[in-house]
Parts: sequence; structure tokens; C-alpha cells
Amino acid sequence: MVRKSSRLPPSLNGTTIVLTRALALCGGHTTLTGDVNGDDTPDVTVDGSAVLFPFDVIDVFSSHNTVSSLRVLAPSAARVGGIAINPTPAVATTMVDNIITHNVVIGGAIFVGAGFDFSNPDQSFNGATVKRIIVRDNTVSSAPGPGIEAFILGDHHEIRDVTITGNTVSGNTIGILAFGGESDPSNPNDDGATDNRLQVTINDNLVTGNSNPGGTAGIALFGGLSSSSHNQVTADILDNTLTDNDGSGISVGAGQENSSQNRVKVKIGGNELENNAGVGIFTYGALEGVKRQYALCELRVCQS
Amino acid sequence: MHALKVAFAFITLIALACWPTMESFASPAAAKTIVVTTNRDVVSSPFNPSGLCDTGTVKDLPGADGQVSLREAIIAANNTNGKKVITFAP
Repeated sequence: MVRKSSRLPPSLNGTTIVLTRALALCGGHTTLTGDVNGDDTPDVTVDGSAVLFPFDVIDVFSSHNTVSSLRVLAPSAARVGGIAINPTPAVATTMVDNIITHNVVIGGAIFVGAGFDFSNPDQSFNGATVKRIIVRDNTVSSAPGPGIEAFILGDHHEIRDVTITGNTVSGNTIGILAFGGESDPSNPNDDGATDNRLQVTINDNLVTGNSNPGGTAGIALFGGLSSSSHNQVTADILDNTLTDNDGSGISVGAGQENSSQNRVKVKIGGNELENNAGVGIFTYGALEGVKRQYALCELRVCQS
Repeated sequence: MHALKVAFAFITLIALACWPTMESFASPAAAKTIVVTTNRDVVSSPFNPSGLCDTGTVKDLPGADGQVSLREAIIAANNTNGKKVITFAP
């Protein structure tokens, strides 16, 4: 009797995949999960130490995706993230319904952005729409910049219904950063970001042990940076815990660095701040040569 | 008896004619599961690293090496319609 045997592939539970370059989710409707044993924790490590700018270790360029339960090692390089949700004109300029959850990201940020063109990183593009994005229950540490960042470059973008919740963000320069517009750092001739809309909810995160001495190390929110104008940011910063950060806890500003006519409307409430090196919570309209800025803040039950 | 045979043949023909349509209705609802079987970051024929998103579909899995890498799984998902789930060999 001849017995035909079928060999199962070896288990990849606990394995590390060393990438030669970035991974890109372009097609949409894809769930990528590193949870092999069903316990909602990462069982697979994706080592992206070799990934180079302008890419991130995992770039999401499409809609209806979930990236979950992966341990992602980023290269600890400026502007190279661990996981990024960021439309690029070569694939799509509208993105909706993406979820980043239960990942452990080390050495790079989780980005949610608009305006950065991966095919032409020296030139931002205009008019993207990013909606219904959830960044939930991730652990982000040791990023050279912010741990989680929502950003806009270029003009006329809309990012809304972004929820950043339940994450543990530690050991980064800033815990969580969101802003409505900034000049493209890759383009010295960029005249600033204009007429963008950002709406984000930042709640129930643990932001601890981040270090930005003299600045904000916890959660920072801006309307416009670096010559940007007419951007509007609406945000809820609720029920977060910020402890042991080397810098201020929460800061909200309408504009900095020669920006003008940006508006920020924010609710801040239920946050617990303890043992941070700088100011607990501060809000302001304008800093550094800016004019006609509006920061409308509502503070509730803030402890500092 | 002859009438019964004719009726059966007719129903069979109708069912066969409708099968591709029925399948296309069923496909989008059910996610295609792609299981990664190797931890090597390789792309083997017919997958082709080209541009941002590369080329190759679920039907091309596994590649020539008989394995499915994470990169091949993602390329296949990128170029295949419908819902896809990428997991790793348990």
C-alpha cells in the first residue's frame, strides 16, 4: 500500500520576517493578522530595520484594511514609520475604513496622514480624503519622533473620524502629535499647508515616559505649523493618562512658525496627568510671529 | 419515463448554465484566506516586484518555490478582488 503524505508547513508562531524593503497594502479589503494562536497578541515579528525613507515598514495605500497583532520593528530613522495610513496618488487619494490594532511597534511611529506623495517625496500633493481610521490598542515605543502622529502636508485635504484610543505610547520624543498643516519638510520651497481639515479623537491612551525636554512630550495638537494657513482642527482629548513624561503633558496651539489664520477647536477632559516635567495642560492661540489664530478650548475635570 | 428524463436533463442544463453566476455571487462575501508559509522575504515566479504594488494574484500562489512569503501574500491580495485575510502557518 502506498501512503501519500502531505506535509504541513512549519509553524510561523514566534517567527521573525526580516524585510528587504517596505510592504504596501494597495488593493484594499485586506486583513493582515499576526495573531497565530488567537489571543490578540502578536505572534509574528516583521523586522523592517532595512526599510528606507520615503517608505514605512507597512504602508497602507488603500481602503477597508486591518493590520493587527504584528510586532513591527522600524529602523529608528526620522520620518520612517512602523505602520502608516497615507494615500498616495499612484494608488488612491481617498482612503476609508482602515484599522490598526493590537500591534507592537518599536522604533517608528504609527502615522495617519495626507499629502505625502511616496512616488515624489519632495513634492506634496493636494486634495486627499481620509476617513474612518481607527488606531486602537497598540503599543508604540522608541520612535525617534512622535509615537502616533496625524499630519497633513499640502492643501485642501480632509482627514476626519480618526480615533486614537487604548494605545500605550512610551519612550518616544512625543507621545501623540496631530496637526492640520505643515510645510513639506522635504521641500524647502514649500509655501506651507493651506485649507485643510483634521478631526481626531484621542482618548483612553496611556502616554508615559516620552522625552521632549522644554517642549511637549505627552499630547500635542496644532492647527498650522511652518507658514501654514487657514487650516482647521477639531479634536477631543479625553480620558488619557499621561505620566512621567520629560516635557509638558498636553498642549494645544492654533499656530506656530509664521503660520496664520488657523483654527483649533478642542475638548479636553478627564485626563490624568502626573509627574510630567513641564506644564500640565496649556493652550494658546499663537506663537512665534503668527497672527489671527484661534484656539477654542473647553476643559473639563483636568488634573495636573 | 421519457418525459421525466427530459425534465431532469433540462434542470441539469439550467443549473450548469447558472453555476458561474452563482459562484460570482458567492465569492465576494467569503474572504479568501492566504496562509504565509515561510519567513523568508522572497518573491518567486510568477510574482514580479514592480512599482509600488507589484504584480501577481491569489491564483499564482504558491510561487515557483512552493512557499508563500508574506510579501507574495500581500502582492496577491493587492491584485485580487474581494476580501482577503492573510495569516501565518499555525
